[in-house]
Formats: sequence, structure tokens, C-alpha cells
Amino acid sequence: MNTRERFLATMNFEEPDRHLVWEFGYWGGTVRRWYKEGLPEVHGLRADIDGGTGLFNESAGVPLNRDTSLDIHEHFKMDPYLVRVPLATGAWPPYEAKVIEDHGDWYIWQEWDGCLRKELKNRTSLPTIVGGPVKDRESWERYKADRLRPSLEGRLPDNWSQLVEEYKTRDYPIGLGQTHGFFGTPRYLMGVEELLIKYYDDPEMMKDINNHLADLWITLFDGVLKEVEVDTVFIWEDMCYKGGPLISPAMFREFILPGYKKLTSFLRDHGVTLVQVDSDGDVWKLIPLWIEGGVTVIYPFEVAAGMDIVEVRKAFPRLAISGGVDKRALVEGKEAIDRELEYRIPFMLNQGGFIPTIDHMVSSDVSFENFKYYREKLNQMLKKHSRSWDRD
Amino acid sequence: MPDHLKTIAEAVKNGDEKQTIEAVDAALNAGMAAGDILSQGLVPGIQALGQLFKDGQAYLPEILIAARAMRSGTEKLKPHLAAADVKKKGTVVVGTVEGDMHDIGKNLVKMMLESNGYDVHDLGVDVSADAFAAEAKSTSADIVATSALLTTTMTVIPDILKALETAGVRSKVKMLIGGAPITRQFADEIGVEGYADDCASAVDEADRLMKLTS
Repeated sequence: MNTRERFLATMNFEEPDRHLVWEFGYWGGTVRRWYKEGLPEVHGLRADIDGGTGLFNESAGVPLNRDTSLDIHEHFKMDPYLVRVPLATGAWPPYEAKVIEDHGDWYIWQEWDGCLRKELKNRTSLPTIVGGPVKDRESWERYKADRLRPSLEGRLPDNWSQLVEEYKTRDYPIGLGQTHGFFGTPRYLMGVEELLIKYYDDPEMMKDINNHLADLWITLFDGVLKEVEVDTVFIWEDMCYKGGPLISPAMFREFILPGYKKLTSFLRDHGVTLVQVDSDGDVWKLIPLWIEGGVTVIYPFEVAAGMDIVEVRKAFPRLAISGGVDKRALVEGKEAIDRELEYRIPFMLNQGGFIPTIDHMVSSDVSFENFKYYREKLNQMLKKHSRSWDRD
Repeated sequence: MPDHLKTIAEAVKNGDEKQTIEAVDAALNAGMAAGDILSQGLVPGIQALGQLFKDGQAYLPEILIAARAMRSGTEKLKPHLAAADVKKKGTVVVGTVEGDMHDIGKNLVKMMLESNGYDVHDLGVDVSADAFAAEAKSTSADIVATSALLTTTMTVIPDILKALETAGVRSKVKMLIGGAPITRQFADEIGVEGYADDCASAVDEADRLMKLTS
């Protein structure tokens, strides 16, 4: 099997020849720390990558190079990464990125999608969203007309026809979708608190937003699917915290679910059955709704928020899972890593439909020694539970 | 509970801002005391919503609109309230820890504490340990409440304890912490008195801490 076949077999609960060796990602500061602690610096990181830059890895679908964590990928002999089709699914044309307010060690800046983020200049913390271009009906209608036109024009790179040819002979999986979702995107449009209130203040606008997003993505994906056989679609939400979902299941059903059903129905009709949702936090209450909405894979199952992939698998046996390993165990040490892996990994590998990774990006309080211990032990488990293993 | 007060409490619980204002108006016109409207109408309304939140029957949007209704109702009452009518439960200094910009949880805690009768001093985000201590001292705070989003930023919480100690107010001030990576066990390990899972529990925990200070 090649990586693509292995990925499809795994996510479809078929038996792969062996398990995928992938990881979720790291913060820039983590990789720089590990260079000092023994990770061979062969490719290095680009100089301007700071501690707060998220470096996604194999499962996330970004090209691995000096902008990412190529040295870790090579050192631990991980499998080729999933590739995301470089399709712009959000605001197009993009906004100019610029600083709106400067407060010394932090600022508020406008990103490409018009979203306003409050962030420390040294980027050692996650930014918080404080607003966006949509305030009311009028600004939504303007944004929709100016930035969310259902047309592929400009949304694919200049070398698209070359990529289409490359994809035809690929041995790796490819996915569609960027950081967008039926909660995630509206959050960028207006900020979290404003969004949560808008469900009450202007429910019709909220329904119109998600209906338009579903139609937009169907149109864009349709254009790509005419030329490329896609293996999976990504939806990003991050709509839960450790107390559960940010909105009620009833509100999800009313405002969010219709978009999922519309989009996944289209995808199934076009042969794409693996639909992945990314959400941190305690997602328990939303899992049945996502499944009803056609989602087949959820990640990364944040243990600190009370998620336990063993229990999730028992409750939802046909839901494929990626992630699920408690990042805090890597801070704590080898005994905690042993406990963590021995509890979750053998059970999940025997069940299938599982790609083990840390439950979010590895933070800079994890030593290279601990990460190495974790990854080598995990790789041994993957080997033990595989039919064949050709990585030695 | 008289009908006016029931209507006010129900309107706040439902997050109905317009109805809250109208009901407060009606209660004032009926000659009810502003202090009673606050303590027996608005506050029970937000408390009922807080209970629904803790029971998993209400979520953050409901908290936000209820707090907005409560604020508007209180604004309407303000000209009629005598200082004696507004009995503050205590003074709380809130902020996110140094290095942490994520303030949604902190804002919700502030909202719920204010709605439940606390005098809240919000220092915002990325607050240094010394700034927490200085504000606690100058406001004679009973509680310092802080949140951290990341495992890398939660480690500065012990610095706040030290700063309170250095400022000579540690014995008078209880600390209340929360945030994604924070647990009761972590709070116990570093010697923090209060821990809350969410914004509604933060009110209960603040109430508990106030009993320890008295």
C-alpha cells in the first residue's frame, strides 16, 4: 500500500498493511527548543518563524518545508503528508493585512479575511478574535457580494493545471478545505461574542450566512472535483471549550446542521465520503449532530477538555478518529507517557479507523527527550499492531 | 414573589432585554422600591439562568443575552437606587495572566460576577503579577480572579501569589483561577483557594471564598 491507500483504508475501517506514522503539529518555540536539545537541525526553520507560529504536520495537509517541521518529520521517519488543494475558500479577494491598533507589546491587526485579531507581538500566546467585517445585514450583504462570490476565479494558483496532472499519479492523499466551517467562518466574520449574540438578534441573517457558505463551497468544490479525485474534506470549527459546546445542540441543529447536510450530500454524490471536523474542547454533545450532518472523522479530541477516544469509540463505533493522545503527558514525563499510550493506543489500533497523534500542537514545555520517548514508543506500538512494517 | 418581580426575573432569565426594561418600568410605576426590584427581580433572574447553565440547559449565547438584559434593567433602575440599595457582595480584580490574550472566559466571568452583585475591576489581558497585586491593594479587593489558556501561561499564576505576598495583601485576598488547562488539582498544588470550571461556577466559588474572607 502507498500512503494514500493506507489513509483511505484506515479512515474507512478497512485493514491497512500497517498504520500511518503521522503527527499533528508543534509550535515554533517547541522546534527551536528541540534543536538545542538534540533534534538534528538539517533543514532548520525560516528565521522569522517565532515561538507562537503553529507548525502543522503530516495530518494537517500543508507542504512540509522550512516553514514547518521537516526535521522532525525526517528524524522520526514519518509517512508522506496529506496535501490540501490550494483552493481559497474564504474571502476573495483577500483583505490587506495591517495593524489597526498598536498597544506596545500587543496589537490588533486585520487578517486576509477581514477578521480582527488581538495578539501579542512576540506571538507566545494564541490570538483572540475581537471583531470582523460583518456587523449587520448591510455589511453582510456587502461582504457576500464583494468577497464571497461563488466563482473559482482567482481562487486557484496559477500552476493549477500542473497540479492537476501531478495529483493524477500521486501516492499521497489529498484534501479540500481550509480553515472554514459553519461556525468557524462566521466567528471570523464578526468575532465570538458578537456571533453568539447574533443567533438571537438576527437569526435570519445567521441562516443566510450558512446557506450562502454551503452554496459557495459546493460551487468551489464542484469546480475542483471535476478535475481532481479528492480523498477527504476538512471543516474547521473549534466551537467547544472544556465546558462543552459554545452553543446548544438545539442551536446547532437550527443554524449549523443544515449547512453540513447540504455540503456533505453534495460531497457524497461526488464520491467524497471522508468528511473531517476539527474542534478543540469537549465535543461530546455535538458528535451525534456532526454524524447526522455527514461527518465521518473528528479530531483532535483534547484530553484536557475531558475527551477520551476510547469512550468515544465505544459510543460511536463507526466514527473515525485522529489525535487523542494527551499532550500534557509529554510534559509530565515517561511514566505518564507510558500510561497514556498503553491505555489508548492498543485498543484503538485494534478497532481501526484511527490515526494516533497528540491532541493538539506540542507546546514548548515538552522536552525533546520526552517527545522522542513518546514517538518511539508509539512507533513501536504501530509496528506491533501492523501486518507488515518496512520502516526499519 | 409579586407578579412584577416574577416578570422581571423571567425576562432576564430568557435574555429578553426589551421585556426586562418594560417590566422594570412597570414595577417602578407600581411604586416598588428600586432595591427590591434589583434584589428580588433582576438578580434572581440571572441566578436562575446561571443554574440552567450549570445544569447544561443553557449555553453561552443565553448567558450573553441574559447579562445584557440584566445590564439594561440595572441601568433603568440606577436613578432610583440609593447607595444603600446596592449591597456589593465583594470586590474582585479580574484579568488574564501575563502572556495570555484570550479573554472570552474572563469577560464571561466578569459579566456573571457583576450581575450577581460583585464590584469588578477588569485589568484586561496580559496582566503582570505586579499589576494584579497593585490593583488588589488599591481597591482593597477580596478576590483576584485570573484565567490562563495555555499550559505555558498557567505557570505564571504562582508569580501572582508571590506579588500579592510582596504587596502585603496575600492574607486578605483569595485567588480564583480558571481556564482551559487549569484544574482543581493544579489550584490545590500551587496554593490557590478558588477554582471554577466556567462562568456560572465562578460566582458560586466567589461566594464560597467570600465566606472564607469574613
